Amino acid sequence: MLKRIRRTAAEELKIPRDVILGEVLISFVGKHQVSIENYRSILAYDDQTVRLQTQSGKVEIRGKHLRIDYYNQEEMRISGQIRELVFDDGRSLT
Amino acid sequence: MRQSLTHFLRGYLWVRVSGCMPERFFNLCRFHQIEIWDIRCREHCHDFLVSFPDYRGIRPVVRKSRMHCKIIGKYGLPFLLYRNRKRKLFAAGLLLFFLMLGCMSRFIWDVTILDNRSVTDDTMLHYLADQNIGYGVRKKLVDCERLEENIRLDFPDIIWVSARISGNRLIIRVKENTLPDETIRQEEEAADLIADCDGVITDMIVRQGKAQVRVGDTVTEGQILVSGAIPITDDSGETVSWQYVCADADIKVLTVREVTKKIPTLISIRSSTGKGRRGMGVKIGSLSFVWMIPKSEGSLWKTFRETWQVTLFGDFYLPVWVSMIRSEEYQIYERPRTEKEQESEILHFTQEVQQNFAQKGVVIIQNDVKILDSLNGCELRGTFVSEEPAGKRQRLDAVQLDRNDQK
Repeated sequence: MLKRIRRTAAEELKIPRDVILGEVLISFVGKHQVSIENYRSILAYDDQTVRLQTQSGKVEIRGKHLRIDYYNQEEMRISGQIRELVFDDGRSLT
Repeated sequence: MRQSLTHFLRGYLWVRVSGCMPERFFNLCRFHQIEIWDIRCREHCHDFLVSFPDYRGIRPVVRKSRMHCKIIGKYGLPFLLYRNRKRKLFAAGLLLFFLMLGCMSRFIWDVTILDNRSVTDDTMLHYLADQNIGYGVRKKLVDCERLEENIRLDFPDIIWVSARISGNRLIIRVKENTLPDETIRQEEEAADLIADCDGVITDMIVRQGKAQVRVGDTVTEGQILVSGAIPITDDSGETVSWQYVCADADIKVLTVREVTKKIPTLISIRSSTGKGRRGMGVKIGSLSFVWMIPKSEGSLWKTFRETWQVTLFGDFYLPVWVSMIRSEEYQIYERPRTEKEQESEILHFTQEVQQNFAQKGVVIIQNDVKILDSLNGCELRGTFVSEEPAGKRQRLDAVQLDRNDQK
């Protein structure tokens, strides 16, 4: 109920969804760097996969030589040869 | 950059963790707000950097996540100081450097004068030296407002001045009066306008006075062109009195000028022998040192020197000048001019004369320049037909004024 009110408010008031709903915000810089905001925790990390838990589901970044440049409560920056971004429902951005 | 500096100042460690739950370890670090960065995945282990103060908080997290942790490297200022704790002289030198830097920064090490045209840098520097301002003077002793006031008073041509100290540099920006003197000189004394050269009048606009010549007339030097004495006549046409004004007119005359210039019959050619020398020089205050291979006796060299002042941080000018010196050996021989060189000489001479005339407002309409060879040497002779402004003021003397009045 509360989530629906928030979603309606975000749509009506034109407030960004990441601010009001806490949805994950992913920004790419070319194909070698990606910043992920509003993540909850790290589920898995090796040099080919970084799997993260977010408010709306799981996000997986696949590639080669992946490195976490830094991470804190809100944001994480990953660099390396990024090949794929996969959401837990199977949708992928290649 | 700022973060890197903070990490360096606080010190940081390169840590390797191994175990079966690295993700849990990273999540716990995040939860406890332990700043770790540059995480890399190796075979069966993870490497990362952590700040030295945060490393203490990492131990319970390691235990909780059942990981093993090992320090691979230690970096940053605290570790650097610890490693070099026995190097007392180095520390003393570093301290002395900063002390000297602090002391030196209290003096002026560079004086820059901007936008000056007629007042040269040397003139201004000598003036500043008279005011006890120059290289090596304490910044505290330089009163910029007073200096500005003094410069304005002592240089009438400078109409605006700004002095400020930026770092160790005294910057003086001036604005000079660019209006020609003629606009200032507005003497309203009675005067005639007389010809200052021979020629034929081509244009004439009289603003004040009585014209004595017309367009097309041939005038000689000293002839009155516009008279400053204007007769006032009655109805019968007889002069009853005189009005004296300062004659003013724009007059142009067509004149022929002959200009000659002696030049040597043979020209000296500097031919490079291909030999060169390199060196460098250092000037510290008034002391100067040059390191260069000495030249052989009787040889001729041309030297190029590039000098720059040593600065720290872009704005801290030290009294040290470094110069790179390059010398090339040459020989001199003489030979007569080729045709091409003669043409070039004529062209150069014509341009030089034109430039000199242009400064006086003279426009050259036609020119004829020749090289004349004689026993005494070569001579460049040019005949220039020019159109130039004519007329100079000549005061009406008291005798003439009295005579006119008596009439």
